[in-house]
Amino acid sequence: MKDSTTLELTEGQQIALDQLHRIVQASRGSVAATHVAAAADGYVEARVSVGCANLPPTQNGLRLRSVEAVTLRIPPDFPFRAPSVQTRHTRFAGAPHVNWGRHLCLYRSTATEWDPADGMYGFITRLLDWFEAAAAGQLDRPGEPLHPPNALTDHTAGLLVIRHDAPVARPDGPWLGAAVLHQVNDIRCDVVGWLAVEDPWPDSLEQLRESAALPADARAFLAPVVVTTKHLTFEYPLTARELVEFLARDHITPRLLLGLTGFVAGHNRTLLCPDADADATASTGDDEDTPAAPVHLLLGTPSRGIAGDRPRRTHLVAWHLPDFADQVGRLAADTAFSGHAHLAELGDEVVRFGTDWLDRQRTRWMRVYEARPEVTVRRDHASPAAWLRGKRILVLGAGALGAPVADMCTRAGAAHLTVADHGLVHPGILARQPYTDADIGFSKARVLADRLNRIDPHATHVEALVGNVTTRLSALDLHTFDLIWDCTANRIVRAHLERARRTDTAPWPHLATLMIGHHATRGIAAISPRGATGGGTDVLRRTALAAHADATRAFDDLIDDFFPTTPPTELFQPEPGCSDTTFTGSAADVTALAGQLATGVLHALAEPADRHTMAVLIVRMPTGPTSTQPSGPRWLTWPNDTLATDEATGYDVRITPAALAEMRAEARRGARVRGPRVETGGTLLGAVDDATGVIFIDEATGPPPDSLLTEAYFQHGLDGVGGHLTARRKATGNISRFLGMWHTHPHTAAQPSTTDRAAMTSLTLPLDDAPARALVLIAGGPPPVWHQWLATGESPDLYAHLAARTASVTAEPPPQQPPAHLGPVQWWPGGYSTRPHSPVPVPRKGSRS
Amino acid sequence: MTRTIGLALSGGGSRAAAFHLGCLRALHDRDLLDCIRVVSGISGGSLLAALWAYGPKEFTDFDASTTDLLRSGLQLDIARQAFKPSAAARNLTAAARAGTRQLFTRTTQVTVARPANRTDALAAVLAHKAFGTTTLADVTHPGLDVVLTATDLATTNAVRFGSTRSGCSRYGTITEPVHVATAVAASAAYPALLPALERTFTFQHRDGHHQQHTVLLTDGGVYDNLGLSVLEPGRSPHHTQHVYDVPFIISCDAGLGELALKAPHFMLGRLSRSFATVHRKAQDSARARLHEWAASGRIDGFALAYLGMKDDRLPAPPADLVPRSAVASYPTNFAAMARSDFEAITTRGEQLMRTVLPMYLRSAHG
Repeated sequence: MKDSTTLELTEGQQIALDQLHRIVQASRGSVAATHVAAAADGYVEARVSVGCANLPPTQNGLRLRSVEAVTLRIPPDFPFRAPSVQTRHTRFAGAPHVNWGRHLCLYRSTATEWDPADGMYGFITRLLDWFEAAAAGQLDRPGEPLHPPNALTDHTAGLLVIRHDAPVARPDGPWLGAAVLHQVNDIRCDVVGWLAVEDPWPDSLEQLRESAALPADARAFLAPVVVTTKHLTFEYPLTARELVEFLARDHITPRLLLGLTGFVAGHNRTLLCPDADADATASTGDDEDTPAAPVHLLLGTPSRGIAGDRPRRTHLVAWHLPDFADQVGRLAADTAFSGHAHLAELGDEVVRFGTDWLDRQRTRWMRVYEARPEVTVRRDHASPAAWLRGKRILVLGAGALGAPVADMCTRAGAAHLTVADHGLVHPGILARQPYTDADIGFSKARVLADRLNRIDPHATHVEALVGNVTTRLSALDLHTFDLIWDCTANRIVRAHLERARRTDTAPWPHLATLMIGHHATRGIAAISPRGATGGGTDVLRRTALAAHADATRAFDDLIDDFFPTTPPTELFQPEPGCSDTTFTGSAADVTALAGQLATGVLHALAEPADRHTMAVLIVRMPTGPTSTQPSGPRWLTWPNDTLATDEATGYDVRITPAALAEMRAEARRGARVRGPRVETGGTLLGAVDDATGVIFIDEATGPPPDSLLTEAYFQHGLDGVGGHLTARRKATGNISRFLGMWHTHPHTAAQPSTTDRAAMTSLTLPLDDAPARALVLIAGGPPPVWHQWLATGESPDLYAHLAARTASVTAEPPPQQPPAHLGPVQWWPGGYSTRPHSPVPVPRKGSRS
Repeated sequence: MTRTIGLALSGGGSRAAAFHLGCLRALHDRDLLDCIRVVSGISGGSLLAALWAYGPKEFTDFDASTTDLLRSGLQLDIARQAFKPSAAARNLTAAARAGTRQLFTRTTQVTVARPANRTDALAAVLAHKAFGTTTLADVTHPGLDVVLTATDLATTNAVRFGSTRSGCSRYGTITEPVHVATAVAASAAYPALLPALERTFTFQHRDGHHQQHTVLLTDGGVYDNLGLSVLEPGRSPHHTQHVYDVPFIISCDAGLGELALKAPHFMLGRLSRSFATVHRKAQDSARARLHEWAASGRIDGFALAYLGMKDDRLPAPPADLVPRSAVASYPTNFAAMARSDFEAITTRGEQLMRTVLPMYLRSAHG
């Protein structure tokens, strides 16, 4: 190695050469460095030879010599820029991962693959890997990321965004036609459609817009397209002459190119200047010289996709041609392709002239950004947000939660979004809601919809619904949506939704109710999937119950924040005047909570196993490094309730599986201990919600010990009822209270008997402070239904009646014997007794009875 | 129905068996018996586990026959059986055979007790009154597995008698079919009350070779009186022959609660009291382990019905709860049970299980 001290080296280059020196010493001859020199651009070039004799040649591999010489180019700012490597020969030209004939491409992305800390060690390892892969013919393995042909782009040539899947050439000839371009601004055009020459082409600009689903004011035109049958090269030439030569190999002659360009240019004139032809003779010729649209020649070549085994896709480049191409092309089309014999000679002349002119051009390759579904993968495709693609979404509330959630839905590619809010943008909300100073005074929903409509107008249409959600909701057909986000954090809206959802004959779409705590440190998402028995109010109620019931007290902070037993005394009022109470917290807090909650909801919706399961997600924001961290996300889930309808009010009676299981256990116990026909019953705990029209049955208990159980009659006892209710009320934060009584009608209809009807009128309740109303629930059914319930848990027939007491009655212990009109019957006490009360058969020793 | 529950029935003589019967009544009423994947029994818990697993298919029939058995007791029969002429003859010939059959185990110097003793008698009574010649594989309920645990005094290893296999980690798998009566008797040989049960089995070692070993079987509750260790989540099949993936555990614990103050004056009392202390400590740590498994998410949840639980600790006790004081003093033998004792213990078991199940099962099993 030449002494490097004589060179002007940067510190980094010195390190690189030192490292290279050590690698050469350690490599035992397999890597040798022969010559080090400074290059004009500040780089240091080191000639390195790599021993390749031990790499076996393969059929598809590069043919390597026993020693391959390469030149390393070490940048002045090494190691913060990766070195490059090139050959002095062009034997590798045309191979994948070889650019410009000499440049070996070792890194697809230096930002992630080049580790400055590894320095030359990492680089030489990579180089050796490259040779190994080259010898094995695995430089362009199927399944590896695509390495498309290279075209050195010219920023002044413009930008093309390709949105529509591109045509491919048939094996017997190139694909010829036009691309529909939507001119978005002065430098950018989007490819939004393709027209083959043999297809019918639109006759007017309106037709063209319509065919590409463009808005009425969109600027659109056509661009000539050639898609070759064969792969041309891994790099595109800088001169038109070379390009024309390449294309000629695929039978695309300059004559064809000029003709196509002219044909498209002519059609552009028809579309864009429909009156020009009429005036053409009268005009001075200025119109004739000025092209109706810029000339972008799109060139497609087959290229493998990311997965190698699939059919090849078209790789596209675009050559921006001077305006003169428009004229030459049209002239060629009008003569050489006119079909008139007398113009053929002139046509040949034009083509010859045009070819000469083309030969002198440089290829100005436009920047091409791919947005074609066939060659791109959405960055969110593997995330739960992928569920949102193409969906119709309703977002209620456009505030701290609703605005970010709507933004997330739009970016995820929802097809339609309706954002509803009645509020206006105030200065104060800018602290954490995504609005701007200019938006102040305007409707939040409208401002938000305008902004979101600009995110991806091709995929997502956003509509604003301005007004009170509860009154405007009827204007929407909710069933057309796939998901409703209730981000209003408003109890009234929630209750309204619960009632509307309950009374609707058709099932509602998924409903997600989002809330954040008073200081935006905690968030809750309640999920009521399509077909779930409870909406947001219901799920939040069970969340509160579960939080209170949790023995580990893991939800105490949640109870204080969301379900306080006494309302919080300090209310945050951000501005003077009367407004909805709100919460404190920053943009970082609310956006983070919205994101976490949204992700959780989408996870739940994307997992089909969780359908028909009500769920709640609880998230907590992190605190400082020295404070105790709140626990992470928690899920609670509930299976559907069993539904009955109250005979008196038409309310929903929602019986939790726990309550029904307890009734069933008592019924099974009765069958086991008291025989198949003796009725049993007990107390129901829960609540009546008149606003939403829902009667919640949370728990059921068995018959108190002083109850009276017969085959025709169940009389609810008093023992322990009061104590139990107090205990449960305390344990549930007053959410679950005395609701009523249940009893069974084994093997008979779940309809009230005469005795039941009489009891409902007087409504004797096992309580001192009995409420004015109580639910009477009867579980019964004909023998098959009854047996099925006991054996398999299939729901029995249910009768529910919310009975109201008219006269005040004090609770007196009911007589401990059956009513006289029933005659002498055997009766059983409640509780856990195992023997009937009377007559008492004297049990034999050892017998079970 | 998917079987996802592991049921552990603790030791404690007839008191435990009666308590567990009450617990099983509650589980039957809650329709959870069909969800049980494996039942693990210790001592009196083994008796009840075996009576259920190998007993009549219908719950009420099992309930009736079990009630009969526990009410009439096993003790008198044990005494009769132990002094039968055939047993005496076995004892006389035992000394002669001792030399050739290597009654001293390889590693320890534990002398084998009389080959036909009162525990042998218990096995005979169990065979006669309940199990006949039923072997461990003959489980009545399809999909249910049974593990009855005894302790080998010679090696101090747990010997597990199971419906899929029996054996211990030291010697391997027992190749002969084992009678349920033998397994129950071994598991129930509470050291302070019953002598150890001596049996010789052919074991297949992990490496495949067969060898005979003699084990001295005694109460399985010496280390784990709740029967939970079989159900421990994430046990490696390389270290144990019994791995059951049960996300939910129901533990029926007929333990004593706090020991009554009683000065042990004479030797037998002292011995029994020291055993009781060991048991209680083992039980406390087992209960703590249940909480740990649930808190760390290794199991989805558990329900624990504990005979000795203080009544005021129950969040919502039934109005007619049988108080702890009414049952805690009942001895842990297999004597005939008075109707009032039997009813008090079974009812408390049923009440405790019914009370704790909704608390623990609210989300897990509805």
